[in-house]
Amino acid sequence: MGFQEQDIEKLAHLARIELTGEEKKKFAEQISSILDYVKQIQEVDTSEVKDISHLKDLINIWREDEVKECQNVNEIIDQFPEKHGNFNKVKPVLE
Amino acid sequence: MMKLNQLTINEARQGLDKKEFTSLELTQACLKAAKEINPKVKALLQITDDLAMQQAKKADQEIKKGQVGLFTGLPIVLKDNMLLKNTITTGGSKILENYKATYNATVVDKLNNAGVIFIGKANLDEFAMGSSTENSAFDKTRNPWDLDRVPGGSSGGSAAAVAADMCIAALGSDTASSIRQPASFCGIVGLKPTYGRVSRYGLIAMTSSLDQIGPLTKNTEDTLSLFNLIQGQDKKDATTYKTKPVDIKCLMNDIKGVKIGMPKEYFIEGMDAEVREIVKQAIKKLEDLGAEVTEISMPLTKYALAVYQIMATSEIATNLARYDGIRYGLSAKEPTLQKVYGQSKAQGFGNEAKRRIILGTFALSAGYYDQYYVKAQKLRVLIKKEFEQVFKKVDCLVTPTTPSVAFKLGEKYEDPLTMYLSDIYTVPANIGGVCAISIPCGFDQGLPVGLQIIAKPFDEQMLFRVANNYEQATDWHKQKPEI
Repeated sequence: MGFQEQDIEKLAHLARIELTGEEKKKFAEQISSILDYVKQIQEVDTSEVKDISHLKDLINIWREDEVKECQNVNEIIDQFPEKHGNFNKVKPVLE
Repeated sequence: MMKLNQLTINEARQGLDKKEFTSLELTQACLKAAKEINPKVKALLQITDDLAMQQAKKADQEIKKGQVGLFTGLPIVLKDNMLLKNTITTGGSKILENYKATYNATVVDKLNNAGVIFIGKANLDEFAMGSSTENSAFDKTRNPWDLDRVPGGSSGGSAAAVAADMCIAALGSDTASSIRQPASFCGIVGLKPTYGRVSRYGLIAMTSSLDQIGPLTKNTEDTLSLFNLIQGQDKKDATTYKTKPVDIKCLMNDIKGVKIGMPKEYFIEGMDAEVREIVKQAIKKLEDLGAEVTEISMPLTKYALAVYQIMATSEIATNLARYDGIRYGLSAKEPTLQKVYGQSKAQGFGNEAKRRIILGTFALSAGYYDQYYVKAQKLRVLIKKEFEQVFKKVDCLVTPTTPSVAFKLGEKYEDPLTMYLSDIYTVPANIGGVCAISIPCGFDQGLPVGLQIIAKPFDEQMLFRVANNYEQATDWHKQKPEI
């Protein structure tokens, strides 16, 4: 599969990441070669597989829904890049 | 005379219990070795002296009171993708360069409760993505056996720290190879437990459906001990199973009549001829010890790496989306929300992370989802079945851990596909959800070679039993690098 820079651009937009022109060019080549390798999975007949969930034998781990005091509020707030009092401050979501 | 930092878990325990030395002395020996060797090997991103000294003093008090477990006072290294509260935890990424963990990983809690000493945080490929530790945003770790070579990855720092005796043992994480391949490259023992046997709570997520934490140690018995400490169900990780520790007596059992399969797909053209020869000799040794070795075939093996590429990148694209500059981590100063997202990731992520985000976003995007993601998941089911079928006939499998010994720094860095191929023998165990161990089995041109043993899910005792029998008959694991 031949990737072009504009394909990478579109994917970068979907992932909300900015890439430089050089990165787009390099990734287009590298991802094309990785997908050339990966395409071999298409040769295997998987028509018998109906259920793709993994860990089917796993049983839910339940616990009581109790209110507990959070022990690390201050540590979490300390990590905010921008804050207003105890609030996490972000740029406007709706203009 | 052995130095204290060279001791194994059992040797250190005996010495502490007989009052031959204190935990403080043992800790200081490890810290001294770490400070001397780390500038050359760059295994540790952070040496946690203050914490270690504090813990060692506390451990010595407990030892005095006679309140000891196997791990009380033993210095351990953590891979830097496991959260240790109030300590910088980077995941090897610039985006978390200044991130202070706000809680402990479950494995860290378990180690803490057992009285362990934390010596430092080990280098890794960014978010555990890589096979050489060259993708770390901070340092390139060197192989203690040859400083021009990589230690493997992504737990390269943990493996190098154990091989260079900066600690008694270490924890790593394994998604495709990340414990076993560096253990093989550094000449030590490394275990990838069965998926769901060790809690992932507080492990920075890479590929959630494959990631497992496991030990890197100086011998098999140590791996068993550390595994027993960290395994078991955790209410904070819904993918863990209710399991019991392995009975240490399994080490005493011989391997007469144990059925071992040698899958021919793991001895293909293109692998290093000398490595193949060394591994075949190791298998011969197992036969001499009474095991019944038969050649078998697992035709789906060759697809495991391709399946991994799709599964891993898809989950990585999802897992790394949280690093958007809003709640923690690097946050670019930009005027709009969209620019904050885009630039925080642009500045914070390295090459491999960006490449995998793009590839994963593609595999999950409309129009390609069925062709790639769903197809890969279906193949995963078939690979799992292939393991199930094989384990009806044999007790375990033996293979090389890697197709070659440690490669040179820079040799594969610019060619991601070639780098990925170094995981070709380790990745099937992750896809199949089975357990696997790598143990030292010889040297090629002075560099360690690893033997991989694979067993069915939750049958770690079989790995320990076979590995320990081999170890008792050889002394590869006792060799030490000169640094």
